[in-house]
Amino acid sequence: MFSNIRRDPAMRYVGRATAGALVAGFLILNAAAFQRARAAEAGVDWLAGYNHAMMLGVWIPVLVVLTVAAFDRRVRRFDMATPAEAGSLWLAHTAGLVLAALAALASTVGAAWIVERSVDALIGRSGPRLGVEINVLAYRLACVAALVVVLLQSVDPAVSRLSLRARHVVPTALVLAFGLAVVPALDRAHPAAALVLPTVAAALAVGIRRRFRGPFRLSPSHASLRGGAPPQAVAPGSVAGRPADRGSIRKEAPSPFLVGAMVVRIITKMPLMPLIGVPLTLGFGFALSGWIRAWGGGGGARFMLVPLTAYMLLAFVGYPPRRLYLLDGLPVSRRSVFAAVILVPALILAAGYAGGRIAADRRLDGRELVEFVEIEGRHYTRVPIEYCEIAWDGDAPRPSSPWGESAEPWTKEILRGRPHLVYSPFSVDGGSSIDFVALQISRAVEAVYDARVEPEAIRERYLEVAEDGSVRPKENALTIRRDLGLRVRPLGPVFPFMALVAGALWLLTATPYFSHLRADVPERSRKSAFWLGMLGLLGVHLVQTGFLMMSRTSSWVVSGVWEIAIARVSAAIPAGRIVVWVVAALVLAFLYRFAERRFLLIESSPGDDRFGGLLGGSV
Amino acid sequence: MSILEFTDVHRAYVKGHDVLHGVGLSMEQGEVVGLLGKNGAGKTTLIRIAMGMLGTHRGSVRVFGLDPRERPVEVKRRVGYVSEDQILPPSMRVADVVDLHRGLFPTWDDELAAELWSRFGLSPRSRISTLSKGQARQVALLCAVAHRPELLLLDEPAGGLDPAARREFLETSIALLNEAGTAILFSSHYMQDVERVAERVVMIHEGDVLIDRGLDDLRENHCVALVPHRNGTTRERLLGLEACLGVRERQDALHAVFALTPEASCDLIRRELGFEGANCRQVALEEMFIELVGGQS
Repeated sequence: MFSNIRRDPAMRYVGRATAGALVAGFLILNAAAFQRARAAEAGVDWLAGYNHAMMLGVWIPVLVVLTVAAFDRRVRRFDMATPAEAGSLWLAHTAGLVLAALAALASTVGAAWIVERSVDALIGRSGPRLGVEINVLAYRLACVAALVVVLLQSVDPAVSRLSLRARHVVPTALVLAFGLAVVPALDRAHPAAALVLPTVAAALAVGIRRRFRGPFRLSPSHASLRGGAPPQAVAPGSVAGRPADRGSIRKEAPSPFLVGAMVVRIITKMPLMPLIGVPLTLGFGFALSGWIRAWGGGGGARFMLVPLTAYMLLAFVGYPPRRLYLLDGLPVSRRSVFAAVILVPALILAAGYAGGRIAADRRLDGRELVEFVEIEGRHYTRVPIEYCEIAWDGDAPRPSSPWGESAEPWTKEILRGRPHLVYSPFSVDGGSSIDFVALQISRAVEAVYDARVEPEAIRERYLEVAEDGSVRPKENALTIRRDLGLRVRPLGPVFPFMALVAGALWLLTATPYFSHLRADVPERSRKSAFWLGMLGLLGVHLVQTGFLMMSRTSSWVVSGVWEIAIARVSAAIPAGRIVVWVVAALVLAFLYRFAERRFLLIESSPGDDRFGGLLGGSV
Repeated sequence: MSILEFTDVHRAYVKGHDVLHGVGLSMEQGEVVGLLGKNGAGKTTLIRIAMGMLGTHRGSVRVFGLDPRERPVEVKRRVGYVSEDQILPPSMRVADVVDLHRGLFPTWDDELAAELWSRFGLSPRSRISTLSKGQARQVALLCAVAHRPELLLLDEPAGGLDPAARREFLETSIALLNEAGTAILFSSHYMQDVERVAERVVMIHEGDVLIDRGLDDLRENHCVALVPHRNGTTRERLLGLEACLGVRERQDALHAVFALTPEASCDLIRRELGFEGANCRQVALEEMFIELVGGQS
């Protein structure tokens, strides 16, 4: 039994699942950096439960990968030729799947747990929780996972290779949702009550095992195992097959678009790419656009996710070049295939980015970005950090008025122990006069909304002096944007900058991999080239996250610094926005051509597609 | 201009171990060439190089005068290819595979495709992965020939098929295309197939072209001479004769292949080695293949 489990195809996915868990660990590390920064700053952690969400968000796709990639082939040809009992093989496969899913879960939880405890140690107290500890959540997930796997395997148990259909997936998804909803209620009653689900799963598995009679039935896809049906001998010129068969040949040649779609389908890992790859890429596009921040999330994630984006894109290009042998006999241009391999994910990412920007803009539409907020009884001006300035020498100038009044600027250290500061040129202090406050708000309005509103108008309409002499808004908050229908001044060209960095990281790591895909390069070297690229990108992410955690800064400050720097650089150059776009396009075009040249020389042969990188290969 | 031309082609999979070293070969329009060789001789490598799937480490290959690595689309539009390995997308349906080929080859002949479709009795909704080996080969053949290629490359196309299916397969491809002047290069381990359809035989051994002759020439002007050990003739002496292609040492005698008629071979041995009792005879292609590449025993 244990020997069968060990040799089960599902166990081959444990390594990849662990790699997925490692990614989860890094993502959680990222989240922890925000958590730490927030907790240290304000003592309020709105990111409570972020780790848990990450865990769910990563582990469930891993479970899907395991389920889809290793689920279908219950028995290998070798095992079918041995006298091993079919029931035992079925049980071994089911147990193997459960164990693989639990191993992935354990890795994810382990990484999350270590990070959470490390963060607690760093901030000197327990971080806030979302009402549930990670280990409790893991326990519940494990209970549900066991039932889900057994239910999926209970469909046509005697078929050697099961085709996954919607009729299997939909009820299973319902069971998954139901289990996730029910288990908390069960283990609130008593922790042991949650074991009802795995007990049901075990009973079901044993029941199926006992009812097993005879060997596995061959599935249609095992035609070659049957020795192959002989070709139908039909006299030349006669009509064979069902008449309907002949009639169903297309009358017209397919359109170039349809042909292109078929080619893309051939080199695409199905169904994982549409199920996981596309939503994940769209999600990364959303995150890069700043959408999370618009919804009150971590602003720094936007820039910190760039290396992880390249990591994900590299994971997706691991497989298609291995399928080129399927196109090599056809007059399909390698350049077109390369364009599909690179540009399709890039366009999906860009679409996600555009969608995120639209969603973020809608979210922020009408929100006042120039604020006059109360802190400890006094009111201060506030603008988003990306509209502030950087003092590289640490000497932030005091904002002043023509009549000589000035204020201490708000500053924020960029890196621990370094003089660099971000400062607000729109600051006022507790004792500022109403004229000075109106002047600073007017300056802020011009910077943020690109509109000139006279200080006198602001003073008259929005400000008043309280009895204690302090300046305060007439209403609770400023409503300048709403009243005047102002639009936000576009910031620097962040998209081409991000596209340049992510694209460069991606293409520079993909190119060595393509160079290794030659018939005279051993498979071990090819895999090494791929995994070294992946590890390198994870390393970049780890370094920046570690750097952030070790310095007394916040990810939103880093994000702001990037945005300010990009805006200043583009403003300093004539037609700077266009120049940034053109430079990014030229560099990416050069790297694209460089990678393409390597791609054109790929030598792919049948069997290469057993390797699928993080997406798994054929078992 | 040759349709296919290899010049001094070298290729290795492991550094320092050439699979092909210095292969030179050319094909003209309408020729049917059988490519023979032991496993690992380099037949598949040669065909893949012609398709541009593999590059050369030295030397050049031209298909229709073009480099298949530099101009793959122009070359492949005029070439039909059936591989020993299954290289049709397993998850696609037969109709989709045919549609894909139809969309990619401007010279696709619907009538020919329909004729083959009928002859093979293919089911359009079947997925490639569910087909038997023979059915999958039929789909591959349909896709390879229905665009009426100028050059058809068949790499062990009939491997694993039963004799009836093999014959059907080869006769279909040869009959359909060779009449129209298509050049065909096919590799095979089945000597009967080669004898049946090829007009020229190229035998590759250890990365070199050992024999490149017309089949009729091979039958009529080649023979095996059995020279008993007892007369003191050695392998080296036989190999020193101008027309001797190879010598295989067997227990009973030395088996030497000569590019001469049996009579001329016996004359040569008598004249050069002073031995009268050589048994020179014409042999079938399979026997000649074994004598040339079968190794010593």
